[in-house]
Amino acid sequence: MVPILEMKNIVKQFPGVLANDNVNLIVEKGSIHALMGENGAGKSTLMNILYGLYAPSSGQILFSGEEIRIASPKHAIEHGIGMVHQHFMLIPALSVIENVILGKPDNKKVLELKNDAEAFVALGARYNMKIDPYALVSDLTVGQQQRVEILKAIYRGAELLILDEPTAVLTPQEVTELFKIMNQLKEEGKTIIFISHKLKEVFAICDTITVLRLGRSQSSVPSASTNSEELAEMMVGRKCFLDVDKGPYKPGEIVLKMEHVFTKGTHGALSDISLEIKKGEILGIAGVDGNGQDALIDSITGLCKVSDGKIFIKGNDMTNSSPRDVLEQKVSHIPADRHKRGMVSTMSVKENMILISYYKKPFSSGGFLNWKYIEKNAEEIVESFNVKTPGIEEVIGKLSGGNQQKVVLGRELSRDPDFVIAAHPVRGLDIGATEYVHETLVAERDRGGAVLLVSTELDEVLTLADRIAVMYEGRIMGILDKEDYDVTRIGMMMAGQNK
Amino acid sequence: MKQKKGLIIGLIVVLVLLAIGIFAPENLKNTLASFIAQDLRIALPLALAAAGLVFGERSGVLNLGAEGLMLTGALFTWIGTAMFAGNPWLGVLVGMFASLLMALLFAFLVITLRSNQTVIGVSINILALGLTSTIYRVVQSMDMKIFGFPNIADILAKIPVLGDMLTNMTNIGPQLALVDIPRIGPFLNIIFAQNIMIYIGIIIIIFLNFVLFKTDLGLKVRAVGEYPKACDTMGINVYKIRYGSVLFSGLLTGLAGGLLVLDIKTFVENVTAGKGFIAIAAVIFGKYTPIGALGASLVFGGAQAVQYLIQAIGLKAPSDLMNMIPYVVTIVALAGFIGKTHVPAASTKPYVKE
Repeated sequence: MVPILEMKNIVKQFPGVLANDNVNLIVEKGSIHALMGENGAGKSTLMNILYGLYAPSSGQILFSGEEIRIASPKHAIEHGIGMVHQHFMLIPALSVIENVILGKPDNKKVLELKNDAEAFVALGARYNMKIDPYALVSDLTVGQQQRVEILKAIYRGAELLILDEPTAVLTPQEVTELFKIMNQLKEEGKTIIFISHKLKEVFAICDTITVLRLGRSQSSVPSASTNSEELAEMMVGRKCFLDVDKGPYKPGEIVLKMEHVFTKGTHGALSDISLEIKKGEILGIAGVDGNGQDALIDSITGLCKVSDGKIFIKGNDMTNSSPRDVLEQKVSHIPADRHKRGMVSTMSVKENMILISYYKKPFSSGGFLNWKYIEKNAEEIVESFNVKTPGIEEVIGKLSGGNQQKVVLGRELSRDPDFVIAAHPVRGLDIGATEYVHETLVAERDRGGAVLLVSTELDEVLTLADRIAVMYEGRIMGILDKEDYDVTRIGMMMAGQNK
Repeated sequence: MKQKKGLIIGLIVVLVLLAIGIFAPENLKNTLASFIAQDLRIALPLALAAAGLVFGERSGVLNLGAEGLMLTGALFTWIGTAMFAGNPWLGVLVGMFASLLMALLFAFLVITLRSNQTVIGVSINILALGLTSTIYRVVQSMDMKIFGFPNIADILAKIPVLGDMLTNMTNIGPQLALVDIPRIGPFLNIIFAQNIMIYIGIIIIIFLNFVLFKTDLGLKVRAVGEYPKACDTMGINVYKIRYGSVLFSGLLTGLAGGLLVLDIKTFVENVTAGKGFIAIAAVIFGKYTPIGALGASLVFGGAQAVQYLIQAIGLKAPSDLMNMIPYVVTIVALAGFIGKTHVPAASTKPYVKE
């Protein structure tokens, strides 16, 4: 049988970067094909070429055996290629049905929304997806928005569907639902390209796996004939240790204590949070994004006001203290969004290293910065945290995401903290960098530090944390000890149900 | 829901006016009717400009140069009318074309070259003020003959058969037949005996509202102003939609400027005196819909018409203070409403295609 898609010797040269270097990809009709690789491996570039967003520098695309040129997404859609982007391409201010038909070439001049809505509802029913066509997209949950995206692509006649890291924003239950839909699409003869870097998911759903590394296609293998270790090695180019070595769990005295903490606000405000973190332990916070994790961190670090309740750090009442007073308690904070809170992207690496300690001796004295010491200190951090940078004078915005995160990590951990708050510390990092961050956090714990780890990646929390608290709508649904870890139960709690 | 609310408010206003028209004493009726007529006359150019700007804004381009476009449209309508022996229709076309060229310059700078929309908008205003004043000084000695647009009654009277039924011939020319309706006739006559452009303008605005919310093109315009990248992935040409919207708003702001000139039948330097900015305010106050912009313009126009009303009643107030009223009303209206309006998410953000 002729494969539905053949991409031959695709080359994409960006100024200074060879993003795709003779990539080959063959996708069989009616299969689910995984495209794996680290950040910057060229997955997105390749898919953007297929969807007509980029023009390849050279190479051939064959669709159902015929060579085609895809100059714009319009052509891609005409050929039956649909794409669900990682950041949804939906317009929040418009209704579902308006989003679905937006830009469809066969729309009548005067829209017939009613007819389209009926057809859309019927299509949704086929895949067990119930969505009000007249609801505003901004009123939908993330999972619902993703379903709208998938239906939108099918409604426009997609035969080949590209899903770009679709599970990143979903609860485990929603992932199961998504996989069901994907399997149904496959049974109907549709083809799916599934972009992911989560090994477990790829094995659960995909027939064939293609790995990209450094812009080149490594190989395509049937998922049945490979394993996680082999794939990880293909992606990173060396052996990886997927499990983190942890020392024995020896909790010490209490470092953080929260008592019935409330915050005000409409979205993700805290409601009656009580928890403790001891020395030498990692407390993981699991939950879907936007369920109060931000408020939890902000209330501890003094970035938002606590309306009721008490927060103690090492026995001192730090409720509603200023951020600097909190940091002075030897608290380190690795923020969720490093671009907004972790660094100043237009400043140099060495300047970013002193954002917190600049006013202290020996970084400065009498209001003057001591550049000699600052530079020495920066060089040391770059060295010990393995930051790949041309030098400490380099503007941090020019480093890769992983190296930016290492700068933040280095700055925070070199302050010799007693308590580390790490929010999504590996978001946007590839396997190699992730491994490094995880090892560093575990080393902090083994050294006797207390770690609060907030992550939406359940696997990350499960491997690293000694105890897990699940958050839902600003509340803690429960705190589980290591021996009680159970993905189904945690998934239920993430969706707001306990038992 | 929102549309229904506007409809109900409109209905109540009409009913109250009818009640006044029937039951109020004669001199109050006349004052009120001429106030409404004035309001319409002042509001319509604003509303047309605003309805055009709604399209630009909805597509993500804030055209602060509206004042300059209006001024350009005004000067060239004046020149064009003179060129074509006082014909207002052809004159207005010349004005619209001139304004279109200015809009093209603006569009090229902010859409293609991605310059800052605020800076370019302000620059366009300065450029237009200088340009129009200079050209005006050169051509002001020309023999200018300007006729305004014909009154609706004059046009109806010319229709065979029907014309005699709809109008009455009097010694000051044809009058609308509805003047004969007992009690309320003269009241309605003052309101409805407007020049034809007011009727055309209102029809245009209602039509534009339909285009924006019920057609494929309107959906694209609204989408491009919210999330251009998403539109790109849906095969929509973002630049084309934005160019189209900005050029179209240039046509309508030019028309609005032309109407100002044809209303006062002459051009003076800076004749628009901030009306372009008030039109922008009407876009926001009208929640980015053409009909909303018409409503907002009627409020702003009313604030100006109040001056005549106060004079008619015989109150004495300093005229400088009176002149401030429309601007004060604009500020108050915006301060009170701006928080509740949904501003197009991509407003003023240039789109960079990767």
